[in-house]
Amino acid sequence: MNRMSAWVLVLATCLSIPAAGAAKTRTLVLCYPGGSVKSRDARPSTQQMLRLLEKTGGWDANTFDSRFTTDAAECQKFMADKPDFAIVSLGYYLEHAADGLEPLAQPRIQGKTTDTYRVLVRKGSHASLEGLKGKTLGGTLLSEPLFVDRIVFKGRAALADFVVQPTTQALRALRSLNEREIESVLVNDQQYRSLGSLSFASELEAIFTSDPVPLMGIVAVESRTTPDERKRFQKALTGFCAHKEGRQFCELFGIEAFLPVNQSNYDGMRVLWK
Amino acid sequence: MEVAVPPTSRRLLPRALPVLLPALACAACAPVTGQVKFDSPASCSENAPASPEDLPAGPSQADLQCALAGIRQVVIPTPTQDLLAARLAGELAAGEPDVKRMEKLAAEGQWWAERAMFHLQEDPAALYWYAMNMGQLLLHHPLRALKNLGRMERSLKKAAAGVPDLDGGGPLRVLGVLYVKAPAWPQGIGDADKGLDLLKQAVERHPEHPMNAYFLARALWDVDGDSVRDEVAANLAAARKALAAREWGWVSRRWQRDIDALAKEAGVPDEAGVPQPPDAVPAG
Repeated sequence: MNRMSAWVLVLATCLSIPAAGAAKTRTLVLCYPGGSVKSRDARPSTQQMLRLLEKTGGWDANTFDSRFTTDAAECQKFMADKPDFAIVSLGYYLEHAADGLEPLAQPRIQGKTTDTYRVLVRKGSHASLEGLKGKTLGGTLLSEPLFVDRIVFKGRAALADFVVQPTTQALRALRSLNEREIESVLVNDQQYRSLGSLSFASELEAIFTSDPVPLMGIVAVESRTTPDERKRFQKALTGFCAHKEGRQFCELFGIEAFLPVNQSNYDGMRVLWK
Repeated sequence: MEVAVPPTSRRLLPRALPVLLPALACAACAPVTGQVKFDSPASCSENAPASPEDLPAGPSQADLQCALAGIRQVVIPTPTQDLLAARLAGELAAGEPDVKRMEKLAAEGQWWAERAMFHLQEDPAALYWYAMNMGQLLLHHPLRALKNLGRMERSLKKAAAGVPDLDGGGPLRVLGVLYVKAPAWPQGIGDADKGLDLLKQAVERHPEHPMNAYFLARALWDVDGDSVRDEVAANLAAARKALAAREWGWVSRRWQRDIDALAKEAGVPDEAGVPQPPDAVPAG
């Protein structure tokens, strides 16, 4: 589970619906492309958090339901069914922002609301991204090629330049790198900062570091929600980590808070996406 | 079966007090509350089992209930009986369809394991049954489960080092499952490759235990999916063979269900060799 999967589970709880409309079942879609969590394993956590939110927010039990997937194609399918709210990747949001998705909140982790991506190699094996072209690139973050090409590499390279070996197991990719089975691994900030727990961390080095990329959070589907619902939801979400029980979830996943966001937080990314 | 202290035990109590005192000092030994009551099978022996050898082979649910009820009535159970009761409660919990009863049984199993640990310190067998019961107790409480993963890991590592062959490779099997299921690095202790390695060790050491091959098949399918379908099928076939090879008692029906469900999910042949259509991906 990487940073995204951690707060995906927390965000799953933060649906806010006016009490008057509580009889209507609302849907939250959780898309976690490239993740290793099975939907049946994610369900108990998401359901427990949804129930917690219903209880603490004064909504009827079972007002909310969720659909979880780690498959990018299935995410597209779930989103085509027009849920009320969704947790999607930044890549998905940028591709579908014109479809009426409104960002509501993003997590803050270790004081940051951004992620940074790095390409790791064995020390001394390669000096630059350009020198890696034609070689193998592994990791858990390769399921959205356009995102990597446009946002992470900013056009300096494309996934098509590499022999891509995606996996859902970050450790497996790093071990393969250490054992010379692959030449490089794309990691996010949390994975990079956790390398110290691996015995072979000193054998690896980063040859590419991306600019900070804003973390994506939860979006509302405008056609399915009213402005009031979105506002109420945003408020509940931003208060979630301060709540006694919600705090337990947040602490468990290292999330300090959820901060309100809007379209403008992603303006820079939209420019890169074009 | 209503559990009550029998009159003979009440008479013995004053004489037993000197022996009881050390046990009273055990903080974990406060009586467990909310025990599951069993319907009294007429065939229950009046004697509590003293060790696992007193249980019939492939014990039925009634056999397990009788044995646990018997130990519950012992005034000063031996550490061996503590351990046995932890196992009995855990096995009853494993096959119990009612969640509340399952959790009560698992809580009781954990309590017996804690008693055993008080007397035997870091006894690896006690740690195994402690972790087994804890796992069941937390099955429907993901937040609490996540918080206790480290504790379960520590217990199971000691058990795997000390008694790897207990319960047909149970410590290796359960630790393997824990690594496959836990949130993965860097967020958690999860490490699919380490989990698969432990499950393969469990299968190698104890091919006779059907759950070793089943959990290896389950882990392979969950981690690597279609690319290892043949390996999944081979391990499911091995699990079926081991299940049919002897009487496993109370838990065997649930094991059979688990094996069949995975075969269907993975679309591998059933017992008759008929390919099963893969399940649709369930909504999360």
